[in-house]
Amino acid sequence: MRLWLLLPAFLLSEVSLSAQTLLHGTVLNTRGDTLVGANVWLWGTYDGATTDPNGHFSFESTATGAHSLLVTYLGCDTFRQELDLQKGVLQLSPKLKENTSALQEVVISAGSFEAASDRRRAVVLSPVDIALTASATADIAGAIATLPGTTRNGESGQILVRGGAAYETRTFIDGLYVQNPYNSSVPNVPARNRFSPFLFKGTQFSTGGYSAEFGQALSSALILTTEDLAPQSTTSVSLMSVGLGLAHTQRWENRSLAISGTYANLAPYFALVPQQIRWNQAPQSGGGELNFRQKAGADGMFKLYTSLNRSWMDMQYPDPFQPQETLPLRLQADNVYSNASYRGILGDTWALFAGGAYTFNRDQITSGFDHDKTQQSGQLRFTLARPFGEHLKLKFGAEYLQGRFDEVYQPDDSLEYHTLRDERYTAGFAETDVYFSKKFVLRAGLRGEYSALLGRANLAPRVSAAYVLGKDEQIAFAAGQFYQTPEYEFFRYPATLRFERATHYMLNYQRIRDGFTFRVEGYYKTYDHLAKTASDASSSQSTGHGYARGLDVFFRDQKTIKNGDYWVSYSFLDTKRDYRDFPGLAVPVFAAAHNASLVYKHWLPRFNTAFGATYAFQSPRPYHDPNQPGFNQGRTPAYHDVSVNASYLTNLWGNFTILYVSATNILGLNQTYGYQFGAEPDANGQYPARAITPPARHFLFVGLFINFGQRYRVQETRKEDI
Amino acid sequence: MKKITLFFAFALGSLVLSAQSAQYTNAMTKGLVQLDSAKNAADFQAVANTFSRIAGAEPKEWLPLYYASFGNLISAFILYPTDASKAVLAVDQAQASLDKAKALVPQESELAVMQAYILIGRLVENPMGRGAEITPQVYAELGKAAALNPDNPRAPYLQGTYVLNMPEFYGGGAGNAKPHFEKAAALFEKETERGLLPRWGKEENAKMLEQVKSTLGGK
Repeated sequence: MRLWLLLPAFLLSEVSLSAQTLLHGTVLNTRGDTLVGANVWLWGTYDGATTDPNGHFSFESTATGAHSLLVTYLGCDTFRQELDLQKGVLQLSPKLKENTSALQEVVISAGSFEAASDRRRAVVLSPVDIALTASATADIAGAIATLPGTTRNGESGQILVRGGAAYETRTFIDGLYVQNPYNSSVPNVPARNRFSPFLFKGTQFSTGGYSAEFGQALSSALILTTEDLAPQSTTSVSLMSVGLGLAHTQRWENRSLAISGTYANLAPYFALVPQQIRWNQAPQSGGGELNFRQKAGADGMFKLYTSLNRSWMDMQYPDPFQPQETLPLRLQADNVYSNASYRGILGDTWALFAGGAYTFNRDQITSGFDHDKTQQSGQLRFTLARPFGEHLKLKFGAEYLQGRFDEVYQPDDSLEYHTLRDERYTAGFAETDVYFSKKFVLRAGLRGEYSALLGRANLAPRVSAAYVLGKDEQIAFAAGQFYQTPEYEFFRYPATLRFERATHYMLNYQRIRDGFTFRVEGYYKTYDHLAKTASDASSSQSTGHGYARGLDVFFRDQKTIKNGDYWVSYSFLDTKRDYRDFPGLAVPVFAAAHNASLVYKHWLPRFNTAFGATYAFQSPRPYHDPNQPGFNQGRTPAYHDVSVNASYLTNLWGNFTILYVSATNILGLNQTYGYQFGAEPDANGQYPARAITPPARHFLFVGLFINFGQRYRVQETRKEDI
Repeated sequence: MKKITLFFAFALGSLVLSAQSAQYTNAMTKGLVQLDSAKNAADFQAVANTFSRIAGAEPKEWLPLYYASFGNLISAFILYPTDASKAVLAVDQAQASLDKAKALVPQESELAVMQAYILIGRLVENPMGRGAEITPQVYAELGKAAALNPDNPRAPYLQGTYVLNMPEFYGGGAGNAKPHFEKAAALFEKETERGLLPRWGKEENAKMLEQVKSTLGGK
C-alpha cells in the first residue's frame, strides 16, 4: 500500500524538475584572457556548455540544491565552485589558473644546452642531429664543437669549453662519471668519443654554472642519459670504409638486450687516401658492447651497459728533438667500461637513483722508450629527489669513488720510474629549486667533497635563477664554485697540491618560439690553485691561476626553410692562465678569440636523402716559438673548414638500409693547429719546427647500415598474450 | 500482497533505471550528432567537452570517455599546423580520457585502436625524432586490437593509413597499404547497426582505397 503513496511523490518531483536554473558567464584565466572552448558543467549531471569565441557560456539545468560547478580547459587547473541552485538566473565568472606542468614554465637555462627527448624542454640537439652534423662524422664531441662556448681543437678531437683545458670537461653517463670518454690516442692524432650518439636519448651540455649534483669538472659537464627499453627486436650489419659491425637487439615485453661487436681497420682506407702520417700499422680496434634494460614495476628501470675494446697502431712519430725526423711509435690500448643503475619511485614521493660504474684503461706506448699507464676507477652513487607541493623541489645525494693510477716509464733499459697513486673520493650534495611564481625560479645548492689523495676537503656553493620576461623569453643567471683534483700526472713528483678551483658567473637571455631558438650568454670565470710544475719539473704546487671571459651566441631556425634546419653559433673568448709550465699569465695554445660554426641540414623527401654541410671558423691560436722572445707569442693562421655529408635511406632486400657518406675539408684548405719545435737548437742556433696538421687533408667516410627486421609488420598477437 | 509489493518495487526500479538509461542514450545520441557535424578544431573540442560531461555523470560507462578522447585527438590533428603546443595538450587530454576508459574495459578492441591513434598523434609532433620509437608501439596496439576483435574494421583502416604515410624504405607506400584498406573495406561491409558504438572510418577507408588504387594504376 505504501507504494501508492510513493507514486505521487515521484510524479511531484518530476514536475518540480521542470523548473530550471539558467547559468551563464565568461571564463577567464588569472591573467584576464578569455578562454575559448572551456568545458563548463555541473558535476554529476549532463548539464553544461562549451565557451564560445568570446569565452561566454550559457546553459540551463534542472538540478536543484547543492552542486559543484566545474570548468576545465587545456593547460589549466580544474576550476571548482560550490553552488546552491535555486530557480532563476545565475551569473558566474570562473577564473582558471594555468597548470604548473603546462608549457611556458620557467626553467633553469644559464650555461645549459639540453637535448632531451622530453618535449617540455627546449631541444637543441638530438641523436639524429649529431649523426647529421657534417663536420662531426657521427661523433658526439664533433657535434658539441658546433655549439657556442666550445673551442675547436682538431689535434685532440676533445671538447674544450670557455678557456678551459680538455680535462676540465667531464662526461657523465646516467649520472656516473666516465673516466675515459675518448678513445686512446697519441698527441696530435685526434681521438673520438667512445660512445655512439644513438645510445642516448638525452644530451645535456653544460658550459658552466651547473648543478651541485656534478663535481670534479672545472669548466663543463656533458651529461648523457641513456635510452630506456629498445623499441623492437632487430639485427643490423654495418659495412664501413673503416671496418664492420654486427649488432642484435632482442625486445621482450619488459626487457631488452642488445649485443654488438665491431672491428675497425684503417689500412684499406689509408691505402686509398694519402696520409700525412707514415703508418707502420694502420689503427685497428676490436670491441663489443652489451646493453640490458629491465623494467621493474610501473616506474622502475634497471640499466646495465658494458663495453670492452682493444685498439692498436704503429706509426712514425715526430722525434721530439728533431721534429722533421720520425721515430717508430706503437700504442696498444685496452678499455673496459661498465655502468649499472636503477631508477625508481620510493614510497610514492621520492625519486630514487642508485648506480655504480667501473673503468679499466691501459695504454702501452713503445717507442725509443716504454710507457705503460693503467688507470682504474670504481664509483657508487645515489640521489633522492622529491617535490614539496608545487613550489619546492629537493634533491640530495652522495657518491664515493676509488681510483688507481699505475704508471711505469722506462726511458731506456737501465732506468725505470714507477708511479702508483690511489684516490678515495667522497662527495655529498643537496640542492633545492624554489618556484617563487610561475615566472621566477631559484636553485640553490651546496656540494662537499673530500679527496684522500690531496688530504683535503672543499665546499662548493652554487646558485642559479631564471625569470620569464614574456611569452617564450626568459633571462637567467648562475654563479658557483667548481673544484677538481689535479690530474694524476702532477703526482709523479713530490707535490703539495690542493683542489683546483674555478668560480663562474654568467648571465643568459633566451627566446624559444615555434622552431626558432635564440640565446646569448655572457660569462666571467676565475681560476685559482691551478697545478704548476717547477721549471725543472721536479715538483708541483697549486700556485697557478687565470681567468676567462666571453660571449656566446646561438641561433637555430627549423622553420623558415621547408625541410631545412640550420644553426649558427659564435663564441668570443678572452682568457689567460698561469699553469703547468707557464712562466706567467699567457693565452694557452688551445684558446682562440673567435669561434664560429654554421650547420645546415636539408631533407629531400623525393630522394629519401638528408644532406648536411658545416662551415667552421676559428681565429688564430697561439703557439710557443722558442726562436722568438716571449711565451706563446706565435699565432697560427686562421682555421676554416667546410664539411659535407649525405644519408640515403633505402630498402635492400626488404630491409631498411642507410647509406652514409661524409667528407671533411672539401675545399682542401691548409689547416694548421700549431707548431712543434725541437727540444734543442740546430747548427744555426734555430729550433727546428714542424706544423701540426690533420693526419690527412680530408677525412672520407662511407658506411652502409642494414637493419634486418626493421621492416615493420604487425606481430601476430594472440588474444591469450594480452 | 508482499509479492505484489516486490513486483511493483522491481518494476519501478527498472522504470527508474530505464529512465536513466534513456537519458544517457539521449545525451549520447545528441553527442554523436554533434560529432558527425563537427568540422574545425573548436567543434571537436566542444564534442570532447560534451562527452566529458557525460563521462562525469556516468562513471561506469566507457563510451563517453572513448568519444571524449576521440574529440580531443581529432582537434589536436587539426591544431598541429597552427598551434602545436595546444595540440600537444589536447593529445595529453585524449590519453587521460583513454586511460580512464581502459581501466573500465581493459580488453576492448576499440580502445586499442584509439591508443594506436593517439600514438600517431604523438608522432605528428616530431616524426623524424620519434618514428623509430613510436612505430612499433602503434603496430603492437593495432595487433592487439585485431586480436581482441578480428572484425574491427578500424584496426586495418588505421594500419593502412599508417603504412601509406610511411616511407617506402621502411616498408610503407601505396602497394603495402592496399591490402589493409581492402581488409578494412570488407569488415566495414559486415559492420551493421552499431547503436552508440564507434562506427567511424567507413567513408574515409573507401576514399583511401580509391586513392591507393589510382596511385598504383593498373597494378
